[in-house]
Amino acid sequence: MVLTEEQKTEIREYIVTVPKFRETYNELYDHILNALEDSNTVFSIEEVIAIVNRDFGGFNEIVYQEKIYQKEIGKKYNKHFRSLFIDTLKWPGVLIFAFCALLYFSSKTTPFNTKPLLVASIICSIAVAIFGYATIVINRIKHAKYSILDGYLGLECSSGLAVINVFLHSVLNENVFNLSNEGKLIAMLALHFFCVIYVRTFIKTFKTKFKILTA
Amino acid sequence: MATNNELFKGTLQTIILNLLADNNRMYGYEITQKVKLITQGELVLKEGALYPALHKLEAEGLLETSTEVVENRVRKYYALSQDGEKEVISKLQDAKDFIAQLQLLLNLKPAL
Repeated sequence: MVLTEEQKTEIREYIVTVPKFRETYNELYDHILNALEDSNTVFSIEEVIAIVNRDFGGFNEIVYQEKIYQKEIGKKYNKHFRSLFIDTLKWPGVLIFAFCALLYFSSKTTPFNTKPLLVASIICSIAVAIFGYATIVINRIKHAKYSILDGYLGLECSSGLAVINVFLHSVLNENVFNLSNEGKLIAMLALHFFCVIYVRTFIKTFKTKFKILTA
Repeated sequence: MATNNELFKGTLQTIILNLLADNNRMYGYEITQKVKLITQGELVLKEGALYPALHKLEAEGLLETSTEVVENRVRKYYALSQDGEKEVISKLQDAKDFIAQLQLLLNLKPAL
């Protein structure tokens, strides 16, 4: 059957509130339209209901499967993010950090100002968080539904900021840890090192993984 | 005689991976139609079996996805990933071994 624009709108209105995420909605909508276009029956919403029940097991099953899908896909991307992050710490990447630390400690003659490092780390983490949340909001407005990866994206883009927050309120807090100036410097360098790797990993993950589903 | 779909449940992932190995990339509805065509309508993927299986394979990293706008709607294509290409060989071997064991156990003669 050839579907008219009115019939397509009717289908969209019927299914739009069911799936929470646009990936599931797009897949469901495309499947229904393909099934109807292949059939020789006359269009009716009962036919749509029959396809949903036959091929997807009904609306409740769609919502249930969507939750499982979100959990599994989140796990996959978390694993991917962690492995990218850890890879930077492996040989020979970690050599660069060791070389920089050695260079600094061997040539240091005056006290080191850690403020620029701290400010740079905070700015980097805030930039990632703003970028991540802006992407989520823009795509939500553009596509009228959240992506299945938005939950994961929100978590990843705010984790850097969370780590810095914890760091500022524990390691660098004199009421909690009484670190010497040398100790503070090492802690600051470690935090900055973490931020650099975090931002790089985030950009890499975003470029390779998120572009697919945000199309 | 209609095929009992229950018997196919354990091999659904193998069926999907094998179809994708033969067809480069496919979308959900296309897979259901291909299965119907090959089995001459005897096997129909239904009751929400196909998409959960596709999503599981995607989450396991065996499938890669891409989207394309076709006739004003977004279509999601599935293709084998590098890991998926390796897995399909192993899954097919498992299926062959299983069928061989089943033939022995049930005294079935292979169809000529």
